[in-house]
Amino acid sequence: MSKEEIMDRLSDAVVGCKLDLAKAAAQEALDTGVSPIDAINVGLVKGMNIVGERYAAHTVYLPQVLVSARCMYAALDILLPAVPKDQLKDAKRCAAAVVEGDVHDIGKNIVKTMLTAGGCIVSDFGKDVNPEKLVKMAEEAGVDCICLSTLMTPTMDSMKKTLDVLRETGYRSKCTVTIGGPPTSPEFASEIGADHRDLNAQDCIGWLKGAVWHA
Amino acid sequence: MALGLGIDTGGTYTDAAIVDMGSGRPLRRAKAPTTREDLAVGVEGAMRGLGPDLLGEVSLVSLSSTLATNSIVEGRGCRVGLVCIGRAFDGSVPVEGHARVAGGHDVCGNEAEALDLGAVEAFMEAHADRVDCVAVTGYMSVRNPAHEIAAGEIAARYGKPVVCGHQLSSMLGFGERTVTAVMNARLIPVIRDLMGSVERAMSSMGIDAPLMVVKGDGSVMSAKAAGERPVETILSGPAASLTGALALTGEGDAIVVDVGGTTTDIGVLRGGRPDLSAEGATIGGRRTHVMAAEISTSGIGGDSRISVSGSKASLSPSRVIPLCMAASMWPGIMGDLEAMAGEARDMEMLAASKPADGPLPALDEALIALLRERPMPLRKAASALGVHPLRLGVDRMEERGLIQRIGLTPTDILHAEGSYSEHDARASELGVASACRRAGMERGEFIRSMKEAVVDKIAAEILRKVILDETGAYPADAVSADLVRKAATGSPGRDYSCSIRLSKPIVGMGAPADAWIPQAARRLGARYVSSEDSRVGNAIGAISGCISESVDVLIEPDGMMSGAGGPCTAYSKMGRARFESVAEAIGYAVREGGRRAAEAAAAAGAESVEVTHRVRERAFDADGARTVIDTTVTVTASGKPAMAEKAPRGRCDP
Repeated sequence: MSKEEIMDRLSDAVVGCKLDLAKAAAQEALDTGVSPIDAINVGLVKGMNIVGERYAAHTVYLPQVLVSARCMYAALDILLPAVPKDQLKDAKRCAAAVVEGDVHDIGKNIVKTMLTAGGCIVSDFGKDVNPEKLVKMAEEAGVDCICLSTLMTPTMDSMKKTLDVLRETGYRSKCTVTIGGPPTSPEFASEIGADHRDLNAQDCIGWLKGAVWHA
Repeated sequence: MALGLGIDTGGTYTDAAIVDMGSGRPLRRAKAPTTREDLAVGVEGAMRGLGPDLLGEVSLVSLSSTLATNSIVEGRGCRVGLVCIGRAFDGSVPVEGHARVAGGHDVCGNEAEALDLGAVEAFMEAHADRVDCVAVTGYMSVRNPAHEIAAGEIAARYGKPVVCGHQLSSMLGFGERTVTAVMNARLIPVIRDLMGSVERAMSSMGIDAPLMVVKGDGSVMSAKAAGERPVETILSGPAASLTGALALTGEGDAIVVDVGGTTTDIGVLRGGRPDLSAEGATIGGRRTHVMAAEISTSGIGGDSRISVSGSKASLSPSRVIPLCMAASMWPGIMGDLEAMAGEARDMEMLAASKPADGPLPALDEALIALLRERPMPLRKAASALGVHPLRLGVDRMEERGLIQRIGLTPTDILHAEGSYSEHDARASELGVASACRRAGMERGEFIRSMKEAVVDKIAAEILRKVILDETGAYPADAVSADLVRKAATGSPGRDYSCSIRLSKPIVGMGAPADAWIPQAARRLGARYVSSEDSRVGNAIGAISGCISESVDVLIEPDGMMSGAGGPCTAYSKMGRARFESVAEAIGYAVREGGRRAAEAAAAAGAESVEVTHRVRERAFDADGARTVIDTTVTVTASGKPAMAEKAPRGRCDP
């Protein structure tokens, strides 16, 4: 099987939500000597981008995105350990979290998926995360970017508090912070001192790559 | 008539001026070389220069000093012990010893961990003999200072001055707050020494008046307050220049360009106050929480080096001693300069500057010894030492500041032109003649083109400052860079030109300002304002400063979406307090903050204190409704410094 065919199979497995096919294609890529970085960037990411675009265009439903993401992660579990360490050193480290008081993590999960698809190494800090704990995890992981999410209005307070803790610890100057979720707005982001309000997951990675990392 | 005495210790000279406090006009002025090893000597020299007759009538003295800034940059100061509560110290400033003790609060001011008082005591037991001052900083102490206060009380039992972070800053940022507290502690004996020497010099000259010190925001405080909060005096020179510009010209909204010997400082006055850096001043590469004037400093000054290479004359950012100044300092060098007139290289000499801080190679040592007798051209020094000129590591020694080059500068251009006559113009003449010959230019044309080059740079620096202030960025793309360059130089391109009009006047400060800034102002469509007294502008700024002490109170609603104006928490250096409504909290901030600020202003030497407050809301639109994130009340107490003999004066706008 040619390299191109393997790439297509990886991409198709993600788009078609085929978990077993995704795993098989990933293993095949390694067995035939395809570079795991290429397999991720050209195969998996292409598939995930197609799904992300379709979701942003309202042509697929959210559950499809989530199942596609599961396929991508399953293949990544096989491919990532095979990537030589020095090839990962330039990858951006990001964290995604739902702020304290809120447990709605679908948006955060999509952001995590799209960041991964965008070539970032993503730490999932989970949901209902206390500001102090969140910043401690960010410091320990040494992330370049923190993406905060909330679905509910009352928990916007926690976003502000998280930014306050980032300033007190000094980690704010070492990372980019984006926020997202229905009640947030660019004005709110700017008032609490975040760098950007993400309209959706596509917008998040697009803005980071374009305006921050100039990738 | 009440008289004030303003003093400014600059990099090169210490200026002093006696000012009629009624009209703000200087009656007498004098200067003396700044003595870096002991600033009080230069201060005394400048005071003596004023003549004895008026000194006895002086009823207020105010000093702007580079001592705090220089001490930090040069790493001088006393031994500091640092206690960090609830977070580790990152080692970014030197301390004699430090400890991280358990304690600290969370972002809402709730105790995160109990304070380990035993650990504070253990640290003090171990370090009390080895440190002169103690700094105490706590994690989230701006949300609740209780632990800093408790730890500070223990440290104070050991008889050392104690500095707590929350006393100096209300801003989030444990690292910056710690740096600020440590710098403050380090400076305490340094500033107290200076205050003591100046006060002794004052009394020996029959001056019986309170001594004030300029702060980085342009206001002043008493010598006693400066001995407690010395870090607030950093960058007071540029701030004094801004208040001096206001006092001399009455322009409260202006761009102030101060052309000094070595640098040009650009600051902005808004509404009669220096524009401050919102995040806190950076000093010696460390960000602090000190509120100081936002000044952009560029290397273009009277001592920038002009050199001719091939037939092209250019202005470089490296600095040299102007020929005219060197000839005044060492008249013996004129012969050497005349001998160099026909040579095909830049007319430059070398002078010894500061003593080395360690052992040097024998040849370097010999060169310095030779130059200490008097400055010499490189070749002459080399032949006196019997070596080839390239064997002498001149560039390296220049970099270390051991020797300094003497050469042609913009100051010489002004002397040759006759528009400025502070030093020996004959040396400038020789330098200009030599440069003209080598560049193949006629004298008038050479002077014009060099002046143009200086004006271009100053105009570009002004644009850079205003664009950065307004946008936070400076154009990097080709199109914007081209537009800005065309506007700064005023020279058209092939098919289009560009001009940028400033919306406020430019005030020129410093002795050579009138020679450079009017042209830059014309180019930028700005009115140019200056005063014949601007050469002592900093000294006048020092004596015209008011006392101003502020307290910030942050009011955070329990939930920003849970209804406006309801239950809330107020955070400030006075501690954390709960209120049933925001209105109640604002009332508390105005009342208690006002009392605290007024006390501080009185302690800083103010009389007839006036208290005002400003309320700022951070808010955003949520579904068409204005939603308040938090409210900050800044209460400010201002007043004129109390003088030895009372006389009617104008009021201080708070």
